[in-house]
Amino acid sequence: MGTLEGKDSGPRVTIRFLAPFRGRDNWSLEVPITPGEPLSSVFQRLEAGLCRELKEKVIDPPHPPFGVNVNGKRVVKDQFEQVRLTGSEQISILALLVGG
Amino acid sequence: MKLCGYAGKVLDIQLDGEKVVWKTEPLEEKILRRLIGGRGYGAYLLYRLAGPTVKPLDPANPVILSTGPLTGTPLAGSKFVSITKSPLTGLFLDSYSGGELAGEIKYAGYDHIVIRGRCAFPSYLYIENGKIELRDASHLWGQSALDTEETLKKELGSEAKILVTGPAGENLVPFACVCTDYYHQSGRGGVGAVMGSKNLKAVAVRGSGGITLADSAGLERFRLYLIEKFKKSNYGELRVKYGTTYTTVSVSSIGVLPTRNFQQGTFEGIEKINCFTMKEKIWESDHGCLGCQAPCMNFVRGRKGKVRVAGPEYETIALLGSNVGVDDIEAVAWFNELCDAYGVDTISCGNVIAFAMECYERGLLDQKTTDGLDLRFGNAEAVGALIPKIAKREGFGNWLADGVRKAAERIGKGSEHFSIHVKGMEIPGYEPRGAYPMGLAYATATRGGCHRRAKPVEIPKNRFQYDNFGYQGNAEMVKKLQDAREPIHCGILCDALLRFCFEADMKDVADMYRMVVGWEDISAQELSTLAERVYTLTRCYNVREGTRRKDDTLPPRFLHDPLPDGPGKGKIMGDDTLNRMLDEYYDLRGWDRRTGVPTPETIRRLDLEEIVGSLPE
Repeated sequence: MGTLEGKDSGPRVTIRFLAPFRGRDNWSLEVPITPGEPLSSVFQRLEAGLCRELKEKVIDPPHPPFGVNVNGKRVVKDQFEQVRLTGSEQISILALLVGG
Repeated sequence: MKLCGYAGKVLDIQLDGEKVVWKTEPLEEKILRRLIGGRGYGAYLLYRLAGPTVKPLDPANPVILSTGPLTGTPLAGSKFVSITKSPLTGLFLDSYSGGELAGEIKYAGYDHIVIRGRCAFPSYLYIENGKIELRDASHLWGQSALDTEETLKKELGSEAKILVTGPAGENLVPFACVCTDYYHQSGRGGVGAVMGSKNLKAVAVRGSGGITLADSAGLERFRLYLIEKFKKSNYGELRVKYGTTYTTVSVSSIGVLPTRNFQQGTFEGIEKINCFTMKEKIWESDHGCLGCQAPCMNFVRGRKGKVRVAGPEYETIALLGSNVGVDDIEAVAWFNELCDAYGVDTISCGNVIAFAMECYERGLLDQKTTDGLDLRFGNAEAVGALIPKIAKREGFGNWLADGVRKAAERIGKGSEHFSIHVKGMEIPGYEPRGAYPMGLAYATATRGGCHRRAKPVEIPKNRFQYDNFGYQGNAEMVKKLQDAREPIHCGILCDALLRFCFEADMKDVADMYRMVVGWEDISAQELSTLAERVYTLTRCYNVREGTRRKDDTLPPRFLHDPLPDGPGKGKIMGDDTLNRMLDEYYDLRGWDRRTGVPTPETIRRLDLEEIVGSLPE
């Protein structure tokens, strides 16, 4: 697991990539946050390449093929601004493929 | 008549004691474009051959191995379909399989092989370019599916493509599957039991013919176009890397993962059995069907690392993992290995074991009845012990060997409430209380509790407006999803490959038929009508068997009990929601709201009159 900004002991969320991002899948990243900040701002603070990929796959498409879960609950992109983080949230980004 | 793409013939085989009688018939030109092949033409053959007086295990019930005009061409994903009257449901059954047999049937000169009658002793059929022989299989009887194929390959040469049934089929377990190319199964509905009832252990096919294409250069260009689509697809990479097992991630994230006999929609042990753990702990290599650019099967290590197992697929992880409370991917691979060897469908098998576990935990069964097995959820050793007992109908295994509907009838004491099936077929890996449209898809699937006609889970909202916890829009979506698969299932190609990797639409499928068969004027609209026609034809078959609206329902647990967890927590679907969805669905299909029977106007509109005649009320 990587950490975005070194050894910060404050509140943080974990983003787990369960679909290919930055060329690999099933990896995660811890991101320090300020309690109360919206989910959207956390995405914007990720490194440029990852942020761009998130925009392409999750944020910009009108009907994205990838979904975002916060603590196991699906959050659609219209809610990214309203979802306020307190710290310790588990955020997952996954493909919506259902092909069993 | 010789149309491109087709072999042009139906091989009609009658097993007659110690001998075999056979004839060939040309494909019926007047029917051909109306039903094309595969599921469509095969349904027509079954309609003609197996009426209401024919019971599933009667010699007269045919096993029909159907291909279509796209099968065996350079297009990836050739499949064949086994069609019969199901011993599990007593209704229409179509069960698909990949591997190389599909093409070989065409190369041997046939589009469909119909097998009726019964052998006097264990036998297998050998079919090679017009030569049909019935051969002794007494040395194969009792052998596992894998061993049977291995033995026959040694005897016949590796070029022979072989369909076999395992011990479960011999013992007439109504969810016995048939296996081909070692690792591919027509899993659902009991084709293996119908073969077993005929004393037919295997069918081996060799062919050296070819298939004429109407526009081979155009088809090659089209094939390259599909590969380009694949490279750009959102899901192709995941499909190749994980196969169907990626579904563990998406399904558990929305709380529709069957857990402990569908008592819950989330499983606390999912991380230990998901695709990532499978890849890390037991994965060995990819495996695919002939010529497929997106090999989606996984070879994994079996128990103690000795045996190579193909799978487990998502459905196996769901039904023989979370649904029996087992959080050990190595154990799930072991169950998969046992099911493949004995020739049982992992979905039905997982359901019936989970049902027994719930009965046990509720005190409806005790260890005296279960042959000493401690059937608490999560006991992997007990699951592994039960699978062979079911296949062999041994002791308590025989209580479960006729499927969950029959097991509930035998156990009683209210267990019918949580016997999870539709029309006798056990439900696959999607909990409908977390996705109501899936409930409608189960209720209206023509082979019973099935996810292969429509899977309205996680459908992007730009495609359909629907309500996961209501009814509006659901009927239209389910009908359209069902119809979208029909032209592919008549082809027959792999619908997963076309949908997830190539993201093909109806126009693409029409183009395939144009370049393979030469139907220059075929259109997406014609294929939409074909889809409605084939779906309604299979419904007519079931209507003739007695199916009515009252049968298009769901297990009481799904209708009346709230889901205790996940995004659907507390939701109760209720009879009213299902009935509203059904009303709209019947209207869209042109089936009578009161009875669920296709109306005479619909039969006329779909040009089915001469096939189905007049239907009962």
